[in-house]
Amino acid sequence: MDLNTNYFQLFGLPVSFSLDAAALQPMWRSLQQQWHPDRFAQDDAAAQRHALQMISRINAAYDTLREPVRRASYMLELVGRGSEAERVSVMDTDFLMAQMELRESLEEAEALHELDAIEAEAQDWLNALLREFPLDYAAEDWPEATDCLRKMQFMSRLLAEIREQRERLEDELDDF
Amino acid sequence: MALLQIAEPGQSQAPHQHKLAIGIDLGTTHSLVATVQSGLPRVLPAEDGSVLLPSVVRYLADGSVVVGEAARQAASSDALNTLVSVKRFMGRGLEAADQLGDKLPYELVLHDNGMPYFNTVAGMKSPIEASAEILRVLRHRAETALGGDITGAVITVPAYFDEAQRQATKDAATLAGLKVLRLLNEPTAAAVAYGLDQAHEGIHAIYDLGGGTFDISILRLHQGVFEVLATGGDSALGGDDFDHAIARWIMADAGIANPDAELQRRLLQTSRRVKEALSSRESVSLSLAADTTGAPADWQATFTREHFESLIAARVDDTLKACRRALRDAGLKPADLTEVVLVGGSTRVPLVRRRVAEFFGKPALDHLDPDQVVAIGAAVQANILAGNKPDGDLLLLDVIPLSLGLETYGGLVEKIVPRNTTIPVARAQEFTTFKDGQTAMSLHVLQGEREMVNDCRSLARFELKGIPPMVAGAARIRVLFQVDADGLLSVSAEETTSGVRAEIVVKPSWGLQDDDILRLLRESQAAAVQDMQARSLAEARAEAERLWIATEAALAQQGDLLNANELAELENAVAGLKSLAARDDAAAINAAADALNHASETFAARRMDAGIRQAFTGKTLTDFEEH
Repeated sequence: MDLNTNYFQLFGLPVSFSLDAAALQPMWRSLQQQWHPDRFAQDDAAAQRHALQMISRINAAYDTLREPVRRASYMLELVGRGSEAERVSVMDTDFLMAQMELRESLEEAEALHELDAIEAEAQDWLNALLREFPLDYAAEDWPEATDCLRKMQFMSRLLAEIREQRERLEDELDDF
Repeated sequence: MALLQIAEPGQSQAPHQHKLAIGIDLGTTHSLVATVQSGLPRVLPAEDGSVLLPSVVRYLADGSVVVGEAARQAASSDALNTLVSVKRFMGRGLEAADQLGDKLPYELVLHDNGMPYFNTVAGMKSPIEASAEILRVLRHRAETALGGDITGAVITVPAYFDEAQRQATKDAATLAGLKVLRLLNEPTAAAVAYGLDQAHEGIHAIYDLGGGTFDISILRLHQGVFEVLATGGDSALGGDDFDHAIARWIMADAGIANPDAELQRRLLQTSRRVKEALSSRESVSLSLAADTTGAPADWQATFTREHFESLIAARVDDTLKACRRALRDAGLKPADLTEVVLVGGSTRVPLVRRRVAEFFGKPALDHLDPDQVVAIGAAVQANILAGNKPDGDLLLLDVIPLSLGLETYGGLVEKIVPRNTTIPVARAQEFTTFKDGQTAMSLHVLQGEREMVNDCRSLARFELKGIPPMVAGAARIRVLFQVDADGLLSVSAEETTSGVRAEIVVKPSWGLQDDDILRLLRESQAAAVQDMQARSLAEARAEAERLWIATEAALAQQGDLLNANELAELENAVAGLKSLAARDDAAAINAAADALNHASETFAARRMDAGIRQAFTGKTLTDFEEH
């Protein structure tokens, strides 16, 4: 194994969007057992540096593969389409409208049950995109796959904002 | 006298296959050191048997330093020169000073390097130097107890310590002459101690409330791998805040407006005792005489536990909010936890125990001494890292406590490595130029969760120069963040189309520069040589005195065993030794002592013969058997 293998190869997996996130974990642990710098505490500086590079890459791979939106982005990078997602803007007006409405209701949400509804809708959108991406990818339809990734990124950012809003609300409402 | 050397039982030393590695809990209130011997971790006591070293450093006018209990006792009488809770200042600014009223409890000076320095009778001292004094005492304690040089140490830090605080701790260890095998997060260390103790698989919450810091960590133990799932806390919240709450109440109730440094210290010490007493009692009576406090009149009051709890309830709730955030980050609910472990002296406060149990819905474990558990866990990890357990099956996977990022256009922070990412980790991000022909890019590295640069901690700034002129947006600048196993960061930037590079190991914004460390290290080594010389002189004198007293006593008793010449020679040797002992030359004293030993050999032999004859005279065999 060297530093040039891709993230999927590191984990002994084929490049594929559908993977069992739970199955990654045992593999990650065994890679940790093998490459963690603590295992090289008594070795020379070169071995330690190599271990640090390896484990850094293994951890980056784990974080990328287990999270579907990052996994999709990485898969486009592997086929040389990674930077396109940054530049292409989403043109789908239905999606943009839906996204804006969700954001507006998030800003106005003052109760946890309102957040629940917004989160469920955003999650539905994301789930649909997660089903579409592997189809676009398999068809090598890069513009569609890139567009799909952009939408996923929108939605996952929105979901993160919903979580932050939930934290703020819970901290405010809760008097313990 | 020519004396036979007999080793006491237990002192004889088998050759070490074992490397001497120690774990140090460098705490706000007290510090301690532990090691693993024969497979068992244990804390190392000082010569007087005490385990906890108060983290108090007193500087004296002659340049000498007192650390520990003796320093603590001088904390109010010599407040300006006696540094307490110095950990609060590690890697932080003046805001860390715990003041009551308008006056600072120290004379603090903000140095150009951003660190506050204490103005003491022995000169300006940084928090790092003061911490190094504490570490030095612990190192010496360990070397005395273990009989050898220390290979390396694992030093614990609050999980919530940021880069600057970690680096400051590492610098203090370097100053104290310790090789740092690893900076280990305190809750993780506690989990190791509990994990080994119980071999429990599952998800554990470690609630660690110390003197000055609060940490919550959620860990999973599975097949010998400790994986930190999330961590959170507050590096400026602890039992000291409870003391302050009581002290402020006393001040308000007794009408004390602006206490000086000495009175601040006394108030805090009293408050601390009150807090401790209220762990087992419902109320305590307090009194202050008017003349000692500057208060308008003599003051008396009864302070109840209930009142105390009302004063600290908000701070305890703050810890629970951090717990909930950590659980959220880990994607867990309180019910998912296998167990909750209490660490840190402040978890003795009944309100804390009650609220933690309520929040997690289960009683918290505390069967290991909360003061010792962190040092024990650190010792276990030190033992593994020193190579004493080559097939050690225990592996710790830790996370970074705070997000790391870069300043982008408009004073915003772009997060590169989010908090709770498992370390070591490397993350790269591409940026581009925003002006045509831009040839340099300034990079500002930040730590924190907030969106705006001003709300985050600035870690370092550096420049990437020599970017070939291109149109705006054409350059590809790849910035790589690398965090090592100690949680320390290095950042490099490269323009990928031209290969122009720049990099930086993050540390300079705060804390000591490398050359400061070198200078201080040289000074401390010089001081160590002086200390060593002073010690060997004192030892030589003590040995000389013991020798001449024993010789004179023997001469008084049995001088008749010698002829006149022999007697004169021996008396000369004694006189020579006495006169040399008054001088500051350990080697000369030792040589004179050797001379006396040599001169007394005949005398010793004769006394032994005489002694044996005497012993046999008039005794029966039975007496001997009984002896």
